[in-house]
Amino acid sequence: MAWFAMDDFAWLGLRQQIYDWKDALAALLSPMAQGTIRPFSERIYFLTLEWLFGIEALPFRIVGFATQLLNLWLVLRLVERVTGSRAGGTAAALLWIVNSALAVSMSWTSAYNQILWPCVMLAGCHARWTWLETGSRRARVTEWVCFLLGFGVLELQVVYPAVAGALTLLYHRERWRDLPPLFAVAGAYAVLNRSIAKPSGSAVYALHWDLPSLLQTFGTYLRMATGIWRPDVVREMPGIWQAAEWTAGIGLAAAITWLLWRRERWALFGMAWFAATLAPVLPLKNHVSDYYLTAPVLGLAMAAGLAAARKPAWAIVPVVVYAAATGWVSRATTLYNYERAEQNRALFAGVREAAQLHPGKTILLTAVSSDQYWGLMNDSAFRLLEGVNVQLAPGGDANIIRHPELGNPAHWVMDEGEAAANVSAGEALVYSPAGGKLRNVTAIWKNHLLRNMGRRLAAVVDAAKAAYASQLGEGWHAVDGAIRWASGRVTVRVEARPGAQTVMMEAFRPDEGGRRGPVTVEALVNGLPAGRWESAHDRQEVLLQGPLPAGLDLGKPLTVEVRISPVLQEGGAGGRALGLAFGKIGVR
Amino acid sequence: MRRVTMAAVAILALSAMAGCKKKQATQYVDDGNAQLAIAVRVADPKTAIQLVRGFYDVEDNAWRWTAPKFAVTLRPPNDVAPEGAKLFLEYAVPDLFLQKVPETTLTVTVGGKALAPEKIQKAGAGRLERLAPAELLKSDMVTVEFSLDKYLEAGSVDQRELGLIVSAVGFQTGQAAASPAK
Repeated sequence: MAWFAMDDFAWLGLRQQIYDWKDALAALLSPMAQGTIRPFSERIYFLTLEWLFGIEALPFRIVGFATQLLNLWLVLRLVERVTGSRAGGTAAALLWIVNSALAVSMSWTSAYNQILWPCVMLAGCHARWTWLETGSRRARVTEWVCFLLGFGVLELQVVYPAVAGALTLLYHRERWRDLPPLFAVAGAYAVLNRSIAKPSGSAVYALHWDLPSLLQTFGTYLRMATGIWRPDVVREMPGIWQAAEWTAGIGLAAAITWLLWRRERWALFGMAWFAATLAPVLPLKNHVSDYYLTAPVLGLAMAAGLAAARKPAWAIVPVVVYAAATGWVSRATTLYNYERAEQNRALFAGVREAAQLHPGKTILLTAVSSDQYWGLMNDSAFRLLEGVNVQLAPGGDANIIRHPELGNPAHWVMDEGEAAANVSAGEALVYSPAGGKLRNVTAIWKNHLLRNMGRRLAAVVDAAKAAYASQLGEGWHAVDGAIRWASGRVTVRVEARPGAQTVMMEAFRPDEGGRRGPVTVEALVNGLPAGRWESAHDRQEVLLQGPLPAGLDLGKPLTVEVRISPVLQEGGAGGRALGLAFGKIGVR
Repeated sequence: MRRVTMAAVAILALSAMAGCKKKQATQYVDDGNAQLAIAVRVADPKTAIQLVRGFYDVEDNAWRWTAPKFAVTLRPPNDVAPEGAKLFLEYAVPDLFLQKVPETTLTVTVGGKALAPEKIQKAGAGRLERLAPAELLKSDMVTVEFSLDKYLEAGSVDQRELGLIVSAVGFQTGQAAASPAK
């Protein structure tokens, strides 16, 4: 059973953002991840199961498989009801479930929307068929409920009117008059969705509307629909795979042609389903994904299934070849996902255990593989472990294959000087997942860090941590819990890293009851002014950032001076002068 | 009465035993001090923790590309001869590398002390050998660092910066240091 990966962790952490009802509503309905709003297939799904069972994959898989079983029954019954062929329905369900396009949807929790969406589409089609056949008002209401709920599952639901329209025009064209309202609602939702969805800015999600691009992407998906070929995995296929692909492709084309020759309208409905459910992803030329075919290939399976049931003797060879080949790809894809997810699980569980063994310590990871980084760290999986700070050890990003559109591993790397200070002070431990178990390699790294990096000052110091005490200059009071008070003037020595541009500080002023009003903070670097800010008396968090003064020699240690006025006089005259309580200060 | 007392004592004892904090079992973490190897086959997952910097993923179960700077932590041999222990690096330079970088110099430091550098001008397999002075090998671990002055820039053939193809690195054992430092 595949564990969690990538986007799953963002959804698993959703509950951490909820403190009151407003947060809950925002978590359910605010646009996230390329501006999508999928309360049923993502928000409620993850929030509920994570709340009930924690970071456990089994309940998610059970719900996913249960939904897919329901889908298979809905397919079987729809084909049977419309064409009268139960064998055709069974064949359609089997041809669909074996397709490798479903492998990712069934083994990656975040792709549950691809499973739930066919469910509401099929349920809507069932209700429509009942209405077309009987004129039942209840069926019409049911269809509208499915239609509207579908928008909370996947925004691609806007194509439902096209599918419903195909069913209507092919079998009961006299009932076309109820279609415009469906199209109107879908159109309104499409406009609303486009206005809400923030363009990602990434080339991967850029929309390409030119006809050649659309046709090229359609062709790619059409070839992928046999479930045997994938453009990102198999570029030069061995002959046997090409033969399998041709056999399945010719079999499918023959099946549809034969059905059309016999004037079986179901073939047209299958093709309409394929084209309609695929259409919304065609502009995503740079984001061709096999799991986007989960719903579309059902259209082809419904058509081919009926043909196979009508002429089983002709269907045996292409069906067996298709099932064997796409089944093999499905298995390989599932195994690949499983192994990657297992690596994630081992690393996550290892970090959790390490944090239990060394509470309060920062955990630095070295030798993290690209798969582990992109599958786990990039989506902030470790924030699910409350109070655990996990970063990459210096140089830990070098091995990771770059995907700028997804994130930047360098953001997770602890600076060399910081790492040396923290490891030598016992504030941080270094672990390596190389070789299976997460191994404590702090001793090795201590030796390495102190020899090579220990002489470098940290670029940013945490004033409250003993590890950085040697970099603090004048004016600092003793550590007080998680903070360290600065007097009216403090200094700190830091060493800039290449590309450093700003001086920054994170400080705090507790509730002072308005005793001293606004506070002025002035920063100087090597005596040159770097910024002057005023902090209002009702702001407790003081986050300041300003450009580094021109003309500094960044190759040498820098002295950052901070002047704070007015100060609080603790216990009246003669007590400690308290400026601000500091966390981090330095240059970036 | 005595039975009641004994039963009470037994219950208390059992409660105390149950209340004793169990030793925390670790299933996914090896938190003990790792026993370091004297020499490392870079593809061997058991010794991969010693590759502290600049080694990319294993390829063909045999070797790794390195970054321009790479480092390994080794356990010095138990009986180091007075003249020192022989350090070796097994590496390969592909033709592609030399087409773009005709000559590069590999510098080696052991415990922070530089040994004689090596000029690399030929494609194919190579073996670097240097004598590491005994005084650098007195602690229970030593970090050996390698650095190339010229290398394949990121984007020239790969999105990573590429140095050498390395298969093994370590101290030679089983024989006395044979050659003087180059």
